[in-house]
Amino acid sequence: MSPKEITRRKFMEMGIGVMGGFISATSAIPIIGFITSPSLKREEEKWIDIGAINDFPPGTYIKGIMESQVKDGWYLTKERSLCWIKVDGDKIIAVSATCTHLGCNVYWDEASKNFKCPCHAGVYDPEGKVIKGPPPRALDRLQVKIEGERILVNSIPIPYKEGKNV
Amino acid sequence: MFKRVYYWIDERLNIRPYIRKEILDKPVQGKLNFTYCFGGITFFLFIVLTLTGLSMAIYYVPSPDHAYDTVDYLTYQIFMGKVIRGVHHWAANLMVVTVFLHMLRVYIHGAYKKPRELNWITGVILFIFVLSFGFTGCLLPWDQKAYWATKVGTEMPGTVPFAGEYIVRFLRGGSKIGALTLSRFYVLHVIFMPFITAVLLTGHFAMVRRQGIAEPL
Repeated sequence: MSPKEITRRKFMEMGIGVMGGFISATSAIPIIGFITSPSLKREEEKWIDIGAINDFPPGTYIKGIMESQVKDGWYLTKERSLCWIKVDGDKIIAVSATCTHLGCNVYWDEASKNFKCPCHAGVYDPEGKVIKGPPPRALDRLQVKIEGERILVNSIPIPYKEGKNV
Repeated sequence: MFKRVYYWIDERLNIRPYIRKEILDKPVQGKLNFTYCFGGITFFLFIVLTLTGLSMAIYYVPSPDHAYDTVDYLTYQIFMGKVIRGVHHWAANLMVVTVFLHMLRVYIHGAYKKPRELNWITGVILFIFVLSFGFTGCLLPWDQKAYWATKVGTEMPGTVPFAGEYIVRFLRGGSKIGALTLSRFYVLHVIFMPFITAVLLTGHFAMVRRQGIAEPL
């Protein structure tokens, strides 16, 4: 018998291998999809009311608390997150408080006029650009909209772009 | 009583020669000292963690509106709650230390070299599992420390090129830490990882038995 020849036994073994592979693959697809599907869901865009314009004295950064109803998987809950608001003439700047390094909340340090992160000592200038520490990029910005006397910010942060503030 | 049960089993399965040969009459090999104990201590801690963990799982509910309260309840209102949770906590911390010392000893003795490479590899995977147990277990009390430690920890794989964002999303079960993250971490902590760890441990021990303990160089 030449080595290339396929015996009946070899054929059966290969058949079992192929069928086993097919069964594994077809059962793996739904299982992997089942496990990962909520991870792929995009976040919905929302406009969140953070207070009246009068609550934010102009010239410096004031803490804005974004509170909204969110659907967290099966769980309906209130979510709170922070942003920093500066009213500057007729322009309103909203800086996301989420550190671009590992996501801690940055605070506005009035003494040094910088944003500082308590976790790994990142420092940002008043524009949100990185001065010191590990953050890889500037603080994100939030879109702002005024409805009557209320300030609304968008829930989806957008990356900071030089000279193209919102 | 115990003896009678043992004899009854032995009469049918004839296990005595094996127990004699493999455990009771097995000679301790070579020159060993206390540094050879760290692996065994780690395994002992694994058993302690399993028992205390199983006990706590009886009361714990992995949901955002119940997790904190059930942990509080099982700690302060259940008999010996503080002890069970405390032992789980300290055994977990100690395990990182003992597993590291075990690894150090194996490294210094060169015991990872051929033919024991596979044992080293399973050992490294087990080491990663020990750290992952700590990471996933940290979230379960659902307090401020848990939330922020997990936020920072799950943000880290985000720096991986290209796939980073998806790894983060997969770990969290969404873009943010929430109900799905908690149940994910819970099920990893108490089902997936213990099961895989037990399988790897079996292999780890079987290989030591098969190859014998490496003598120092």
